[in-house]
Amino acid sequence: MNHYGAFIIQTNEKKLVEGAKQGDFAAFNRLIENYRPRIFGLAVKLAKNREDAEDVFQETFLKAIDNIQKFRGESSFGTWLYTICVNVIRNKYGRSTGELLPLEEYLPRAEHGDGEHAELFDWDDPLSKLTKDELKQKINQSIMQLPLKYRTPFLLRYTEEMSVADVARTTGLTLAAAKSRILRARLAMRQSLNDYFLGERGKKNNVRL
Amino acid sequence: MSDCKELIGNLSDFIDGELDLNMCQELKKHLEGCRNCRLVADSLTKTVKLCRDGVTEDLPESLKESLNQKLQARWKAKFDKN
Repeated sequence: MNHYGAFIIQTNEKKLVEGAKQGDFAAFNRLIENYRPRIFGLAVKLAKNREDAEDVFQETFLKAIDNIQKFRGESSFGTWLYTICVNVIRNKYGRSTGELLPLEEYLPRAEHGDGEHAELFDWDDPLSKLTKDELKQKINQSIMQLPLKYRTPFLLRYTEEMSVADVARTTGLTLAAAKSRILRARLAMRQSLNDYFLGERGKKNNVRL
Repeated sequence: MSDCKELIGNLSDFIDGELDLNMCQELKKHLEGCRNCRLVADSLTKTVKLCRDGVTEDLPESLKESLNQKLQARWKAKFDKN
């Protein structure tokens, strides 16, 4: 989108926010319209089960109504909604205590250079052999295995396509901490999928690994 | 840069186009000569792509309806008393 397009959207959002603050329910609905499926998708991946996800989803928008007067436009309305959602999750489950491995543990134990390494292979081959459902199930499982404090910034950055600065704002982390968690989560996800593909390769080629 | 361990912290930024120009050129040079790091970079790219493409959840109509009713009630309670 060009700057002019972004300017129009911001101006439009500002008008809708002003309307909502004065009690215009239609304006509020227009503000949240595009975020409903997105917040639901995020809630499903952050909550422990479907029932909690539905609660978190509804609670996010109800809290948006309660706090609409406090929205000052320091972030976009969408970022503000995500922040509410992340806080609802935090209030529900408390502080996330899970940990991931240090960065260097995710480096494949590879010799430098062009030598073959058993843990490193082109993913196109296993990807072409798996069904969409098998893959989706595995991706979901890997995401859910990430401790919440890593899963949240990872999803905000890559499935909700936020900037690192907005991820930091939404989660209350410093920029450096947000960056570090996103990276570790990405490496852990890669490792988890890589292990799975390695196993599938062995199975499909009938080789015991 | 010759050590793959030094590289891993920057690989993600490199893929996302967020690395400064000097580091970027150093890393590109390393990747040209290191098949293993190229495979890691490629799989890190695919990790994000798979997560983006593969895990969408449809919002059920019944939940949409339930939300609408709750929002209306909350809105009324908030603005009707003002």
